[in-house]
Amino acid sequence: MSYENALEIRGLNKEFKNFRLNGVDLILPAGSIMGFIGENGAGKTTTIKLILNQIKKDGGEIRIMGKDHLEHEMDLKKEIGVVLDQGFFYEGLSPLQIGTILSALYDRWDDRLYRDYLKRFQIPEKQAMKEFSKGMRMKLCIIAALSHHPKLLLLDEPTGGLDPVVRNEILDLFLDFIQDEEHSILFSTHITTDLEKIADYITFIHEGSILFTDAKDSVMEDYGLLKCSAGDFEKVWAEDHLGSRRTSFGCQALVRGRAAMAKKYPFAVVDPVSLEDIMLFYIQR
Amino acid sequence: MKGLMLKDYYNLRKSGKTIIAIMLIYAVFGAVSGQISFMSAIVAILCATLPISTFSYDDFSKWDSYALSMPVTRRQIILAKYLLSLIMILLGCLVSLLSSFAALAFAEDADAGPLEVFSATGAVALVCLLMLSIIFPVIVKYGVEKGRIAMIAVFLVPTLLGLLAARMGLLDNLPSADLKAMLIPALIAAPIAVVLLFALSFALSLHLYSKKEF
Repeated sequence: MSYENALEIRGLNKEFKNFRLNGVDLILPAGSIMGFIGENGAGKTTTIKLILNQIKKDGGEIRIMGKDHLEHEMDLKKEIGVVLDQGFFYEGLSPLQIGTILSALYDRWDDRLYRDYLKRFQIPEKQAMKEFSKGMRMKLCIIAALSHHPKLLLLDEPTGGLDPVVRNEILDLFLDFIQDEEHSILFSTHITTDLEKIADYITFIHEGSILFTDAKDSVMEDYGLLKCSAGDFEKVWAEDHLGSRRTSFGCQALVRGRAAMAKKYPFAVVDPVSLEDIMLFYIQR
Repeated sequence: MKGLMLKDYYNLRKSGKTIIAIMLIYAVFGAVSGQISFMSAIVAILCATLPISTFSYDDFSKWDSYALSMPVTRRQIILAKYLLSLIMILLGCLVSLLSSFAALAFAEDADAGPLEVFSATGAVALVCLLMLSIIFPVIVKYGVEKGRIAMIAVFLVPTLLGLLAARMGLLDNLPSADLKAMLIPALIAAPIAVVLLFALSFALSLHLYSKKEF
C-alpha cells in the first residue's frame, strides 16, 4: 500500500451566504474508522460534498489515498462507496434494477456479492423502493455502496432514524468492511453512541471549524464529567472546565485530564463522560 | 453512460406504459375515422414530455448529488440526457410511422397519403429537436418547472406573433414565394440547422451544469 492516509484534508475553506467552513484539517489513517461528529448544520455534509467535488472548494487541499481529489477524480471515485444523507435512486426502482444500473457504472461491481447481501438482509429484489421501510432503504443504500469493492466509505448519517436492531446489523457490516486494512471509513453522524462502539478516531466539527480530532480511546480516557454540589462548584477554576450545567443534584462540568482533576478537587467526583455529553458541553458554551 | 440512460429508462417505464396505451388508442381511432394526419403529433407528445420527465425524477430523488459521488462526469450526465432524447424521438417517429401506415391500410378514405405521413413525421421530429434544444438549457439552469413554462412559450409565442401580424395586416403584401424552388434547399437546410442547434444546446447545457453545485 503506497499511502498512509485514506483521507487528508488541509485548510479546507468554503463560503456560503450564511455559513462558512473555516480551514478544516482532517486526517483519516488508512485502515481505520473515523467518526465525524457535530450538530446539524455544523459542516459535516458540506465537508463530504467538498471531498466529492459536488460543490467546489474555495481553498485548501484534499488528498484521497495519496492523490489529489480533483486531478484523479474519476479514478478515485471508483474506489469510494458513498451513502448520502439525501440522494439516491428514484423510489420507483427495485433493487434488481438498481443493481443493473450500478453494474454499468462501476467496473468492479460484484453482482454476486450484491445479491448475497440482499438475501442476507432480506431485501426483496423485485419490489419498488417506495414500499420499503426506512431501515430496508438504508440497508440498500449501504449494500449499493459496498458491492463495488470500494476502499473508502464516506457515510453521511447512515443510521439515522433506525431502530437499535437494524443499527447494530449495519454497524456489524462496517466492522466486517474494516477488517481489510486497506479499507477505511469516514462516518459522519450525530448518533454518538454508534461511534463509541466502532470508531477509532473522532473529529468534532462545530459551526464550520474543527474543535478537536483525536483517537477515540484518548478522548474517552481524557475527558471527564466533574460532579459536585452547586456550592462546591464555586471552588472550581473557570479555566479548568469546558462548560457546566446544573442538575437536580448539583453541578456538572466537562473537564480534561480526569485523574488530575480528581486530585485537584477532592470534594468532586470525576466520572467518564459520553461523546454525546462532550458534544453538548462544547456546543452549549 | 449506458448506466445513466438505463436509469432514465427504468424511471420512465411505468409512465411509458400509459403513454403507449394512449398511442394505441389514437392509432385505432385514426384507422377507424380516417384521420391519420394528426398521428404525427403523437410523436411530439412522446418526445416532449418523456425526456423532460427524466429531469423531474432526478430532482425528486436528488439523483444528481448521488451521481456525482460515482465515477461519472458532468459531461456524461448531460450527454446521456441528449442521447436519450434522440433515441426517444427516433422511437416516436417509428411508432408514429408504423401506426400511421397501419391506419392507412385499414382506413378507406384517409385524409393523407404515405408522402404526407413521412414528411409530417419528419417535420414534427425536427420541431421536437428544436424545442428540446431550447428547453434543456432552461431546465438545467432554472429547473423543470421553468422548463415546462418555456415549452409552452416556445409554441405559444410564435403562434401569437403570427396571429398578431396577420391581424395587423402585415402579412397581406408578402411577395409570393416560389415554394417549389425553395423545397429542396429547405429539405436539406432544415435538418442541418436543427442538428447544429441541438449540438449548441448541448454545449450550453454542459456549461451551465458544470457550474451547478449539489
